[in-house]
Amino acid sequence: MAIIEAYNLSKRYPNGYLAVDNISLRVEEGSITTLMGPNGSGKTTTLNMLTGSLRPSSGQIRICGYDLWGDRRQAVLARMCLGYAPQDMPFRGKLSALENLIWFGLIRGLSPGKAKNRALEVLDQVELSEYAKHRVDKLSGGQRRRLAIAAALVGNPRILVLDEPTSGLDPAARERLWRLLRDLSRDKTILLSTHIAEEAERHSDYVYIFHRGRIAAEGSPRSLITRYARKSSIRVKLASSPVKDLMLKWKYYQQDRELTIIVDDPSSELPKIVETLLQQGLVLESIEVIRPGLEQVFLEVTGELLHGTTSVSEVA
Amino acid sequence: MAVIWRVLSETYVFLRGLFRYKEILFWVILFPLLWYGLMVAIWGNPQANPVTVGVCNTDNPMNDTCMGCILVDAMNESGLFNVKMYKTTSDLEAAVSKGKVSAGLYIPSNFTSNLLSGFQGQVILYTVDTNDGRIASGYLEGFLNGFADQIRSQYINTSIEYMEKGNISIPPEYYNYTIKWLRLIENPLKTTENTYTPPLIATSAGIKAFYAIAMIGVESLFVGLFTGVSSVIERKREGSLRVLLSNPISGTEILTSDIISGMVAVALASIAVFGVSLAVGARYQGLSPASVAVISLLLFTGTLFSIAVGLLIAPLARTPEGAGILANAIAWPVMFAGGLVVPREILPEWIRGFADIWPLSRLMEDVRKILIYGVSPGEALYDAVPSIIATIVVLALGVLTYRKLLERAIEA
Repeated sequence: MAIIEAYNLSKRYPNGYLAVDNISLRVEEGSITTLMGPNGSGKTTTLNMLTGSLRPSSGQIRICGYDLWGDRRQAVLARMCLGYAPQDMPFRGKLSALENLIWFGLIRGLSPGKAKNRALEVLDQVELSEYAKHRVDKLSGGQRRRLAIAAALVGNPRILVLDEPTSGLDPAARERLWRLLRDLSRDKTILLSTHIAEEAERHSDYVYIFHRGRIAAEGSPRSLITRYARKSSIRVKLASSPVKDLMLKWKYYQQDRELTIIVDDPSSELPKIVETLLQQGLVLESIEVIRPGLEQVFLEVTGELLHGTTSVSEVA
Repeated sequence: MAVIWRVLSETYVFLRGLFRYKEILFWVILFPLLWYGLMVAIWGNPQANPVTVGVCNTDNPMNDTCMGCILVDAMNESGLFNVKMYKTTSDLEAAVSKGKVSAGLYIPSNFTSNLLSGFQGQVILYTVDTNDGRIASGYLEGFLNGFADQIRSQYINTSIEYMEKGNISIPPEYYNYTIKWLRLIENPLKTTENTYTPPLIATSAGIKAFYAIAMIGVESLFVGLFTGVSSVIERKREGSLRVLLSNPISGTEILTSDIISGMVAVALASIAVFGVSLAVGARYQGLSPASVAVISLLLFTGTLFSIAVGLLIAPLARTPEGAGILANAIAWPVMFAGGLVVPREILPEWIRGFADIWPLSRLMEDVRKILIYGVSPGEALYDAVPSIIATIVVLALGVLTYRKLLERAIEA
């Protein structure tokens, strides 16, 4: 059963910029659904619309069956159903973790006593009980992220919406956060955004790939990989940018000093690739074999690298 | 019930952060107290300050008597003058013309000899046509008249003494009449003084009370304007607006939570200022449960008016910094021209009109009427009706503006 449904959603900002262009999506209850895409692809705008903090230019959104942008009653019931943690949760840095959570509890309409009890519960859930009385501005980045999730959980919502929850965290903190999200997904639906393909692939039940305000592809990570990225790729980092066009017989993408070469069998083709590059006078800095994954899916469906910041030339 | 907790959420954060955020503590408690201390230090004592006058005394003593010196000593001892001595008249004239002294007095060399020889003593007064100058010359003229009275009295007593000793012969049938006549010349007016307790406002305790109410008005002005003007833009900057909008709290509830938080700030400032004012000797009258209720209502309305003005001007600000500049640009002139800090009686006529119509000024005046002039709460409340109506109208417009601003924030 879909707990979030959005149809023909578009957002054009007052300055004319079309951030989201006619997308539709469904989030199944109990799933971890990920909006994956590079910065500026429309993920955060979509999350803001889905959480009720940004009015869509057109389209319809239903949360737990209630019209999010409908009348006051429907709007309240829809919002009761979700808890949102943006990338930078606006905590009051000099207040303690517990006080901040009580504040969020009051915003949800809980009495001070209930808010405190609930705050202690969710602090325990995100493994921050021992930091309850610590000032938020003294917490580490990972602890703040877990506290943001706790803040979203205070109202005991059915859906957790998290914008880039692991962005900027070290691998250990990231792993710990994903463990927490996995635990939470036992009785919550989780909708999140990320630009890290590996995370989306490992932890999501369903992925929407965002590209330039549109959904470029959608499906479970496995089905997306099967459909779009059966081939592996070899990523070669050059010591300097090539001065002339490369002569390669493989399909490749180039961005500055980085080449992504699509291959059928990396083990047999790697030596040939290295030899060809060296023959063309290039100095290689690093070589990495990348198994088929969502990063390749993104490359295949958009023709661009997920973390690319400049245009990529494709040579067949 | 949930609505109540939602609208109190901002107050919870405010109270929790009061002693942890130095800037909040400053604006809510220290700012009004600092101003109060400053005002009381400058204006808290109703006694007149001595005026600075220059004196050039060239009087020559005669028979060990120097009437000019007696005059200058008396001026110094009176406490009315801060006397600066000059050696020459040109020095004195220069001091007066350059504003170093507010008035000047020249005592010529024959002052004593004339007075002791039965001639008129002469002095020259230098005055300046300024406010200070007029006050100083008024003081000097009054003082010289008093000095002349003393000399007159002395002459008459000496004359009567001579008459009693027979050194001056007066026909017996005129003797009593002459004595009576001389006493009349000595003191033609008999003044009987009836001293009453001065009204509270004319006392040090009343002035301290006046400025305490002034500072609470100033706090209402600042807290209200800043609350109103930054309600949306500040939240937009810090990102809390998105979080709030994703929660089941309505725009009206967000605004109400800001208003309550602002009211609590003013209430805390009021408690601090009233407490300190009582500690330094301010006195209030007419305190009763009814007057406390009416005063609370007046303060609430005053703060609400300032919030409403803040809401009205909020669309002009594009950043929280801009909002702060806007609020300051209104608050500081209103603080002085609105009769909050400067008593409206001493404001120029054209500015007084503003103080008469600005609802916060009128409401604070009503608070003063109760606490300083002893007006009944009912009377003050009746007087406040136009201000309350004006506040309701401005608030309605402010809420409409706020809704538009919030709508704009939801759109972008």
